Amino acid sequence: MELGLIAIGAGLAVGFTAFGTGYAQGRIGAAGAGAIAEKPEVTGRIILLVAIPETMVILGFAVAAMIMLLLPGG
Amino acid sequence: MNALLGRMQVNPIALPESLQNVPFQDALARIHQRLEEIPQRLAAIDAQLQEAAKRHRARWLGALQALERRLEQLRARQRLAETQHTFVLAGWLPRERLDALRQTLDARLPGALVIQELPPSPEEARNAPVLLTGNRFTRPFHFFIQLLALPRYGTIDPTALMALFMPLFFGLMLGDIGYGLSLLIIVLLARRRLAPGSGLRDLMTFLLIGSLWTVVFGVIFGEFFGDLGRHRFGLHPLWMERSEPDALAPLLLFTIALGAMHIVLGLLLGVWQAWHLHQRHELWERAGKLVGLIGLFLLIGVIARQLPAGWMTPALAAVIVGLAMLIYGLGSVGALLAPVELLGALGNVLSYLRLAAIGLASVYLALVGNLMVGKMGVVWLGVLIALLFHALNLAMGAFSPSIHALRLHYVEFFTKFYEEGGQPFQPFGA
Repeated sequence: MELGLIAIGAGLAVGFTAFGTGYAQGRIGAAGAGAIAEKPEVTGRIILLVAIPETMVILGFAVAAMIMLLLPGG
Repeated sequence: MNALLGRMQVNPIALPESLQNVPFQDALARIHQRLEEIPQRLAAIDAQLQEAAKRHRARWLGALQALERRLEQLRARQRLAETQHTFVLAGWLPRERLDALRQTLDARLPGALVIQELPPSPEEARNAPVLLTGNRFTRPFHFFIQLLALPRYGTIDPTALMALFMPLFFGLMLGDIGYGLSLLIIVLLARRRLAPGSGLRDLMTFLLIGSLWTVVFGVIFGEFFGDLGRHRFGLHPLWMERSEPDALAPLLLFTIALGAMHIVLGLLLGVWQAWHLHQRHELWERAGKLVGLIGLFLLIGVIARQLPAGWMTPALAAVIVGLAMLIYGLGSVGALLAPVELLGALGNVLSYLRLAAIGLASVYLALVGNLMVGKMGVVWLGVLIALLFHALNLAMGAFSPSIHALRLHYVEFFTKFYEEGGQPFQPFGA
């Protein structure tokens, strides 16, 4: 039971952060597509801007990893 | 009737004038006929345009170039100070090309010109145009610097460090002998077709070096298309397999350590640059961050019981000294901003966890791909699906690690010392 709850906790950690990242990158991507359509030379910077919110899901992964590693003490 | 159309969201279209009084079936037939004729007309007109372009293209390009050159000359004349008999022209030139300029001008116009070297004042030097120099290893990475912004004249050019660390981070994330070799072959083939000096070719060069590092880390992690190497060829890792559960903690710690080293390197460069350029506030700010960060590392080490408890006092002292230096460097709102900045620096170090996370994502995807072979009843179907998985993983693995390696440099590394705002050096007549 304990292990199941720990696993659910880890899954929620990644799941919610992934949702946040997806929402953020979706908005940035839509705006970026508009910017590229008007001025194609900013493509590189727009791709970079789209990749910036990735931090959220990576920290979510880190938390999930910590949950899986550090909690099963009992 | 209109209400029904509105509910079905069907737009009524009126027939064109010529077909208004024609019975519907005939009109339909004629419309179909026009639909077939029109693309052919378009193709014929396109062919005529192409042919006209081919005939006149060379002349137009020549005329365009001649006009552009004339325009550039006229624009340069605006910047001259001239009288009836003489003119004065001021411009920028890389110092090593000064002698060549003198010789060329003396050969063409002997005795007519006086060339004088004027050392720039400090304000002029800050806004001087920037020409990035490098050897053939660093020149492809100018593409990434130009993507963001050129550094100001007199500040550090991080291209060499980027040339070292970016492919390394890429290889650490992808870390697979099979993917590395496949990427190497694809990139070598693609590079042949690209013109040298184009941005895409620089990207391919980066992927080339990155794929070599991928093979190196593949050997370290013992990965060949995931765990195919382990099952089929008995491949053993030099360090550890990334897919094992107890490999997670060492990998995370390794990437945090790598991040800490990179950030500390960035801060050291920032401190050196600020001292060199006599920027007092930046100097204290960056030195404060450095000391505070080291203090935080020691503190975490004591809390995690890796260091003996006697280190607690030096750790706290380092953090407080760092905060004090930060407050001094930041000026009036220093007391509020200093803890935020220090925690921001710690966050930057944690950001390097993505090196572990993205790598693990790629490993697990490869693992799932390999498992597919066994789960399908039919062998060749499983192999096909496994190949699709690996192809997808390779495509994502070429794209995502490069973006994140680049982002780590731009956002975490460069913000510690990089000064943007350099104007590119655009020589006259080039």
